[in-house]
Amino acid sequence: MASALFVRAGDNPFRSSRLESLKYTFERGSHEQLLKQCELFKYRGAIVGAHGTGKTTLLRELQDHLRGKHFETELISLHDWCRTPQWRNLEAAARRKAIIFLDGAELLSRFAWFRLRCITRHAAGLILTSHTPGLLPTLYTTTTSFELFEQLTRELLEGEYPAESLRSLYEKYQGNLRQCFFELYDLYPAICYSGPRYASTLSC
Amino acid sequence: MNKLSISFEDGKSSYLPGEIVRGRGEWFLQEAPKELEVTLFWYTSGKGTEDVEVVDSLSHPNPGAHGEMPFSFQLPKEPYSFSGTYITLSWAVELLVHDPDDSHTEEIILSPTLNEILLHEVPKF
Repeated sequence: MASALFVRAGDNPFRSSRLESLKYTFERGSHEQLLKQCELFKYRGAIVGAHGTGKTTLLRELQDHLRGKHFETELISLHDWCRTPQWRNLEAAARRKAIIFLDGAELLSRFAWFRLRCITRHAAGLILTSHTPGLLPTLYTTTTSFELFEQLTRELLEGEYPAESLRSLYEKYQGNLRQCFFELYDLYPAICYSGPRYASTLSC
Repeated sequence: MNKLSISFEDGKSSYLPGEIVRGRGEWFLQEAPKELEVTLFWYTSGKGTEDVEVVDSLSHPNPGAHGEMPFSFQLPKEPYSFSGTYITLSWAVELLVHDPDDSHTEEIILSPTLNEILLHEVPKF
């Protein structure tokens, strides 16, 4: 039975590379407004939002926009398994007058945050993501909605998925789209083999 | 419109470990790029963090707006092309154009059976 529901990982529409290729969808505002906000705050500010609401996606897109405007940039990503930045790289980037993009600032210890603020004082900017406001002025707050989840799922599936199932997933993970898509990855083989009701709209 | 293509000798797309991949990359571009590169690599896709490793590459500086470039890469013994529920490992040859940037990729299979190994079909011991 298990082998009958096999879908190659590389064919699963919810695989990581497809999730990473999704563009950030602004529920309000736009890239242009965010860029103006950055300029206003002298490129020092925070993108704030809960898990799985698109902070990292938006940070990377903002970095691309500013790189396109010929700013030098440096992206530093923190994770549960690596909670402090490479200080030498950070110092070098600050000396080069780069705008530092820091993903996951809530993982820094208080000491690391002070050290980072000292080092980046001479950088051209510091834009970070955090789950909670307060580290730097908030540039933008990322949120999700059920409608957005439905739209992105349709985009990834290139087909429809029953709204009531999506609704319960969205509620289960309290708007964390990353977790919702992880679960859809596991559900996909069953979706594929669920018969003519959905199969005609899906590419499997 | 830019046109990039890769063709393999004898139309092959499956290879044994250690075999040589021969073929040619062709390009027809609107403007001459600064550099052109043919790369042999493998990558993973699936649920988790994805990985990529470039195994070999050939470059062609100042290649002109159109032309062709033969390539020949010795494949390593592993990793094999395989697919499971959570990870797929694929091999590919890519024709990369730098400045202006463009690319074209063709997948190949590296396997002792000449077919992608499907993990759920591998007998358990």
